[in-house]
Amino acid sequence: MNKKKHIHLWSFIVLATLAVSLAMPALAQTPSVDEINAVAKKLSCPTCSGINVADCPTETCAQWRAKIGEMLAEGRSDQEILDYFAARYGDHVLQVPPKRGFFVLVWVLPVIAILAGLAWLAYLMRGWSRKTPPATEGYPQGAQEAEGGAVVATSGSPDESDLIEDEYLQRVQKDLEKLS
Amino acid sequence: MSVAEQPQGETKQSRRRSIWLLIALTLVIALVVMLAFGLRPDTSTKLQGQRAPNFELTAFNGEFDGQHFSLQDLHGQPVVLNFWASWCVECDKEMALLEQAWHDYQDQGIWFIGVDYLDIDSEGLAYLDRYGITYPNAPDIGSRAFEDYQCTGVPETFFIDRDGVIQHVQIGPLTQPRLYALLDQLVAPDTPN
Repeated sequence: MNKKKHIHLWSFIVLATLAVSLAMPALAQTPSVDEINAVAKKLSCPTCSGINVADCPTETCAQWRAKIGEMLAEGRSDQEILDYFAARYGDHVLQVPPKRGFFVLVWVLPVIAILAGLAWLAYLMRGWSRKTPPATEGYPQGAQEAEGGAVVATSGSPDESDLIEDEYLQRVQKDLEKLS
Repeated sequence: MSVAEQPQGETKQSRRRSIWLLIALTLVIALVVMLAFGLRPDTSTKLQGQRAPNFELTAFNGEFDGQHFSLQDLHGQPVVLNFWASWCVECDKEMALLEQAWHDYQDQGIWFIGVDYLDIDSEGLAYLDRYGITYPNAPDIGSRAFEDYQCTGVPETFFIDRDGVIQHVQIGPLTQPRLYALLDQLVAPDTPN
């Protein structure tokens, strides 16, 4: 009886070990939801707009996620899977547009726009810096300092901010004179 | 100082600035117009009465599995090109009807071709099995046929006459009277060009 029990126990252990060892590769190859979603996030839902395949609740995206899972289980890399979907359904299913064909514009146009904007800004700033200061009316430049401590000295070659302040102060002075 | 008294250099500079501003404004307006035209949705119905774009499809179902189909090769025969998908709820309404019509009209030299849009092949094939579809169906590789025919969604069906001209575009599911009326027109010997 004891011997029979032993045989049963050993048979169970051997079978269990065999079952686990057979199941292990399959378990190891089954991709997790996170692994599937990591790839699915790089694809756009083909039937809605602005949603990636990982976050989309539609039937289409559920099918696509299942397909991604199958491909990951086959040992395909993320890039291989993305290439497959782009070839099968068109480049527009990729969240990040490929750097080829018409999609090159998506990468090039912003750079051109930024460069054009900088050039435009540089041109404007050059124009502003070249702007000749208008001659002040009413107050001789030397006299401004004597009018009050607050007045900015403009003798010599005044910079633009001084002149702007001068004009403002002159207007204030004129208004004060009118009031008195 | 009046404008008339401004130094000549300053006037020149302000004129140059105005020209640049005008150029920039023109460019912005051109860009907006281009975007407006680019974003305007193309609709398949505007293809009615026009020559149908060619398609290159490889069937994946039944007896036609692996067989190549192109509109060029089918020239001289009327073609019903139906875009569908297994995830499309509205497509359910017309699949059995299309299969019935294929049986009723195929001996009159007409071809029915299904285009499976944005589908997983296994799901698409299971869907065809569910409805017992026997006419050739093909996956739309790269969504090229869908784009060439400027489809707005699925289901959409194009009725192409013997001369390769699109006689009718059906957006949405077909009903039997409508489908059979269109097929009668298509197979009639005096189909208008």
